[in-house]
Amino acid sequence: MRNFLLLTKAQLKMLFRKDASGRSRSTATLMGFIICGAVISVGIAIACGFAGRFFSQYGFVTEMTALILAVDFVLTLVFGTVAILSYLYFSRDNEFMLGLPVGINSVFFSKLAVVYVEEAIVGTLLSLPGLIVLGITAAQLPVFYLMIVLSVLFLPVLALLVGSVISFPLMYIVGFFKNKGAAASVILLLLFAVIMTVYVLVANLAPQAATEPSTPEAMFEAAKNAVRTPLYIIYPVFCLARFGTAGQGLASSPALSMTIDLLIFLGTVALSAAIVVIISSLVYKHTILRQTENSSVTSGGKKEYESSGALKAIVKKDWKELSRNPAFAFQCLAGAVLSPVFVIVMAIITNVRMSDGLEGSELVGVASETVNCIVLCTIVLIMQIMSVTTNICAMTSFTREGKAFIYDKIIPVSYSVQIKAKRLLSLIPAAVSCALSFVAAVVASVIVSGKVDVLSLIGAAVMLPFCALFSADYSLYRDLKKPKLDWVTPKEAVKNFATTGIPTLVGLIFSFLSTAAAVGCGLAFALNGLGGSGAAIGYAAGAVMYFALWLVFRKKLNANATAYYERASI
Amino acid sequence: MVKFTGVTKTYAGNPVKAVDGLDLTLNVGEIFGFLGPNGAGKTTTIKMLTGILEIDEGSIEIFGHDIGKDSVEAKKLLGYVTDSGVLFEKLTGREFVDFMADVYGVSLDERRERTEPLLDRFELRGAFDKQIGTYSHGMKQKIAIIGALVHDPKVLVLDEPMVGLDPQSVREFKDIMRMHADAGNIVFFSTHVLDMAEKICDRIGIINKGKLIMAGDLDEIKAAKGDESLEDIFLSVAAAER
Repeated sequence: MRNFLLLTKAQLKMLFRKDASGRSRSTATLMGFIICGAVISVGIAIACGFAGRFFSQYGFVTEMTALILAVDFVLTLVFGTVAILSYLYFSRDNEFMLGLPVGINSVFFSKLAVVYVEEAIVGTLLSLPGLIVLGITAAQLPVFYLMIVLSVLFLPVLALLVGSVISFPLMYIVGFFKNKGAAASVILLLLFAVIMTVYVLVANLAPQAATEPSTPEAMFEAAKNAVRTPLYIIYPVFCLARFGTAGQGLASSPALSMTIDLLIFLGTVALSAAIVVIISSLVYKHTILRQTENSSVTSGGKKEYESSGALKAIVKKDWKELSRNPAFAFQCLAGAVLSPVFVIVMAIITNVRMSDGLEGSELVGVASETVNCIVLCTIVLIMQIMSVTTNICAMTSFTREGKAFIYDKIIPVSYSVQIKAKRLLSLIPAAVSCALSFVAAVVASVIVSGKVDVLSLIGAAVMLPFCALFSADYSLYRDLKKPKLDWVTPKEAVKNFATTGIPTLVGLIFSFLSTAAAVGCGLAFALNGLGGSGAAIGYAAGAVMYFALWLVFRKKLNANATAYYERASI
Repeated sequence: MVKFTGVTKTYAGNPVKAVDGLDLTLNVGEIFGFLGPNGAGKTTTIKMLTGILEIDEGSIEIFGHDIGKDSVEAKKLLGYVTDSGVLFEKLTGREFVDFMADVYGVSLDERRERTEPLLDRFELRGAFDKQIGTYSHGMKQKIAIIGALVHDPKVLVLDEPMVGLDPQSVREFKDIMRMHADAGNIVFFSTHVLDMAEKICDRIGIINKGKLIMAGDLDEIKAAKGDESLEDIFLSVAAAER
């Protein structure tokens, strides 16, 4: 325990201590962080406030609470698993840690504790205000606030323990590809995609009510069941919500029921911890040793000299450095790989449900156009966010180089050509991902429902390239302005608020704005009998917005490139 | 030749000048050793010479090209080996050499002709198609110098090149530096190894606290300091400036 505390303390100091220049982050970045965090927290709190008043009338508070906790849990699970893979397995300090006279579980859990602190802070910022407001507006008992405390403390623990369990087989398989980073990256991405796809499918394709509800009460009951079904996948979280809201549980006595629910949640946390302790003591050391040890295997590449122009040489070099580093490849390409998968799943789920729900119904005309519009816009939104606007590859173009950034300065290639190379590398995965997602969406829609809104898709197809260009140039501009080159672990390079946090938030805001425009135009057209392709107008507006933004940031990037390059130092 | 004129550099947040009014000329065909205690300004000077750091005042001309104003043309004439062995760890040795050759515009024949003898000399052929991340420190230094020499630079700059090298590799490095200088180029390197500086340098410069204390060939320096050994001179210079 002492060793665990010592290691955790040292790593947390590294995480939070100011850098050598005495600045932990600039005032602008800090303000950006506070403003973005406040906007999101307040937005969630307001939504929860309204929802609390509304849903408490229909006995929906348990489900509502569980839903908030579940979103928090799933987000922590997804992003936490990425952080675990990066920080626990691909960190440069692993060799140093292995050399210390401490047990392997002390190393494992100290690193997990660091990930926990980061994830818990984000999770708390996102869910705490909403839960408190929900508790107030839904007039909950004091036990609700005890549940909030428990959720803040233990929900990230549970998510990260599950993430740790997922990481063991992932890394075990990746271990067979030691020093074949590209193969390991592909395997890691595919396995992650499979796990997430299975989760989404299981959560969404669960059996639904066979009959259509006819009264508001029946509708709420059906909605409750629809929400509960996926929540059962993470039953302990549902139990925690039931405990806090004194909802109907496994026993007839409310007190006994609440006690059982609390025990189920805490017991699951304890059991997960025990499982992770056992597995980590058996495999963690072996797994990271396989990551760090040298290989005698030669590269499978061509054993001949190859000549390229400077631009192509830089793109090739950057791509090899990215794709052969599983930690970076995973973080930078996960969205692009997962986007087509999620789009297919989304297209199938929504089209199946639409077909089931609207078959033989008289609402086929306007309702069908309305639902079609929302489904299409949602699919395009997924593409936009996962493939384009949260393009980690672009956001870390310079940061990823770390100390090797020195070569950017000594090679006799103009900075504009170097930026062009970075832009190309940022755009290629996004473009491939978008194209695949597009084809996937169209094919899945045609196969399942037999129809597709061609005009709206063309509108989206016009907007997305401008969106990608803006996103790439904005991200490059931000990264070049203040690259974090002194990172030790890939996690430090990627999980940096100034480098990736702000561009992600900005990307999300513009993605939602363009989607709101498309949905608004689509609904206006549908409801006024103008057909179902109104979203195309919204996307055209989105294209103009992104084009204008791209011009602005392209100009800023080009105008400041030399100064920023000169200023960046290692 | 390479000409430093009044070169000055101050780091943000530190009022002390890292390099203070450096005037120095490097001549064709010479190996110039840059000596000084830790923090004297050697690496800062090298970083300004190679275009990594901006120059606050003064200028550095490399065969007529100002590194500040005409940086791309100036950089074409430079080859640089860092002290930290920082390289693209996920590239193989061959891919790294290809990359360096591509950005300096070296043809396939030329890169083959320049690289192959060095691979044998450094006994690096067996590792050439392995990722650099699997190399030892010495191997990284060797592949770095191959990459730096692939375009046959007019000025070869090395920052503490011998750190961590075994005696055989040190000898190879010294021979290559000599050969490169004798071929009509300039070799400029920083070091703490006085013995090596004494043996292979045509001229030596001693810097401390950002100021060039003295520069000249070994005989000139010894004569100026009363025929002391280079070690004594170095230590007295370092002590005098404390």
